[in-house]
Amino acid sequence: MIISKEDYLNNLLDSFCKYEEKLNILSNKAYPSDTVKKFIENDLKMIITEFKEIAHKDLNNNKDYFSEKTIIANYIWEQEALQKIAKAVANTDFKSHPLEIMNVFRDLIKDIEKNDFEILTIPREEMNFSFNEIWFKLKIFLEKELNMNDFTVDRKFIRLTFPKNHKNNLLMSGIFFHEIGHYLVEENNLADRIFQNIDFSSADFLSLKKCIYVYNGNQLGQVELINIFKGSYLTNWIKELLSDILAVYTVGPAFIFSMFNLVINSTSVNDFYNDNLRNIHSLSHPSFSFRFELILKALKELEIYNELPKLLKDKIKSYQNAYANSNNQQPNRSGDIRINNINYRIQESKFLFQKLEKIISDLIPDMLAESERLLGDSNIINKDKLDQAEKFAEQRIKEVIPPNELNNTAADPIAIINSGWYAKLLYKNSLKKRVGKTDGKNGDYDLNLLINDLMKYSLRTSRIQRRWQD
Amino acid sequence: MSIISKEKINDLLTSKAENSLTITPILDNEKQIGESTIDLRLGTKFEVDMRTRKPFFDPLSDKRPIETFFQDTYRNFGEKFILYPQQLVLASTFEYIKLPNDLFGIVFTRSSWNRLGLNISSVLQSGYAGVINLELVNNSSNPIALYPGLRIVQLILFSVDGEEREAYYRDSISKYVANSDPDLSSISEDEDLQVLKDKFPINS
Repeated sequence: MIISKEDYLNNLLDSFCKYEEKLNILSNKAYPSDTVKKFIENDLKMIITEFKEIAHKDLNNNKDYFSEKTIIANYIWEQEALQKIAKAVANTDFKSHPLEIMNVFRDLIKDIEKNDFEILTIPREEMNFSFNEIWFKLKIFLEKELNMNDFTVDRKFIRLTFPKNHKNNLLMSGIFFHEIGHYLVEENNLADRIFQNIDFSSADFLSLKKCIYVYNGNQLGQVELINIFKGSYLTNWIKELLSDILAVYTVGPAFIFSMFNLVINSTSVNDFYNDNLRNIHSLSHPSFSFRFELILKALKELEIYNELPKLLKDKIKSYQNAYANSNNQQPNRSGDIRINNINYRIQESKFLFQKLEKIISDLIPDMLAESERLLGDSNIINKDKLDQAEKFAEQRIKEVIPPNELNNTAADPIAIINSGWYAKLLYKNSLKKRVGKTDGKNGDYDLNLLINDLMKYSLRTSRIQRRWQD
Repeated sequence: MSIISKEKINDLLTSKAENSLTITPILDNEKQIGESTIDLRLGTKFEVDMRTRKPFFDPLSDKRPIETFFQDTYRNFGEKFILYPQQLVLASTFEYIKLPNDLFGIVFTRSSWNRLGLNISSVLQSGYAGVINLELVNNSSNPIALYPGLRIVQLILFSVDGEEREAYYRDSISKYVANSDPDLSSISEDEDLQVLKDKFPINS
């Protein structure tokens, strides 16, 4: 090898030193939370000091090979686990986080996980919502593999990204609940558990063999087939669908309306003219029409669908029909997947997607039950919350009054979020008239602004009122 | 024109009539509703004025919008906000108010805050809807710690005689519609500015 062990370790040490420099800069910044500062100054610095020592020790021994500890430190460095944390802290904008909705997430996750955590909020220019944990798995790995046990911050760090322009757009907040769904699925290994419930001996599952090409005459048995679909399609689809269910179960119709708003945002004029709503299966996502069927099923499972005002029910039904009748063509691609150092080629086809849909459909009762168990009764939307939303829309937002309480009882945050959509869809014209914004110069912009302001105010004050009255 | 009494205030607050009085949330009715006044609490959001390179606000110039002279910040209940001597900070009441079309209101600082050097006064037009903007200036020579949630101003309501008028927020001259946060000055939108620009151009 042209690169010597010494060169390699020197390069690694150089990277570690640069990272340490970055931590020094980050630790000099002011943070509203002492935990973030403590995390940088104690824990991240401790890791990088340890990594430097490992590399330095290896540099000074005369062996030809790397020590096991160097290999582990190098692996973590290559995975960019530490860099991602520093990047998240550096890009966090504590001043412009979506405060009101973040508190809803905070309360929800705290209620489910019963643990403390920090949220690092990162505004983005592009339309990107995400919600994921970036520290805890690494911490556990370091404790186990490098015996590092002196961490001072024992809490999760959740990285939340959101589009800057939609910081105050609570009408879009339903999307976040899908992203929180992803977080909960990951943290609780839900997708793996559901995947294990597949009947791997069934004719449907075994028939997937037809869609796989094995290179170099390698074997393709049931075990290989399970591994292939665990690494692609099925697990990914389960994750998406579970996140949809969790979003519907927590925020109900508001998720559907937010999601469709996002769809409008990403539909081109060409697609509009061709009645071409994007409705394709892919390696990562099942088609929208398949997702919509499940979303509707989840709403019905909660026994709230039939209770919705007719106009909202019709809207949801029309979305479902639009997807079912979309002119979108499924591009059947093929791609390689590498499992245990063997390459397999998966060929997409109508047959493959039909079988995948069939296999997943058998898992839906398990997915619904797991979601219900994970969230617990208090976090699942119910008829009462939607009744509250309906009243808020009619008696409050329509009258230009925030939906923060009713009869001196603080409003439920999920009811507030839904009330915004109810008001927008049911009372749009009368609300516009009330605030004298009927000229249409800004389209629905002023209306959305007004509804969002009232919702934002309500989320903020109802949370305080609840604590005051406790 | 007469001052609205406690009894009438409570009647209006519980009335189901469409065009009634709304003050929400009232965390402690006993403490907040006096014989003829309503105590309102300090809200959680603040717009703090900053010294910048630009030496002055200029409503006639659109080169530097007013919002660039302010920085927003948030304090939860229980957290303090320090108001320095002679500093201007825009805050708002915690409560959202909606006045019926036949009432108007006057807002002034509770006397205990007055005596520390805080003076706020404001008029609410009939039909007003929103939180009440509080222009906080510390006139003493010592910084004052303010806490969101403390009762800071009093509202007195008066009945308006004569024909019923359009609600404030529907009025075309209204610049502040259903605010839920402290709102910066909209002086740049004042129609008279255009008159000044058109009829009295500089160097004419």
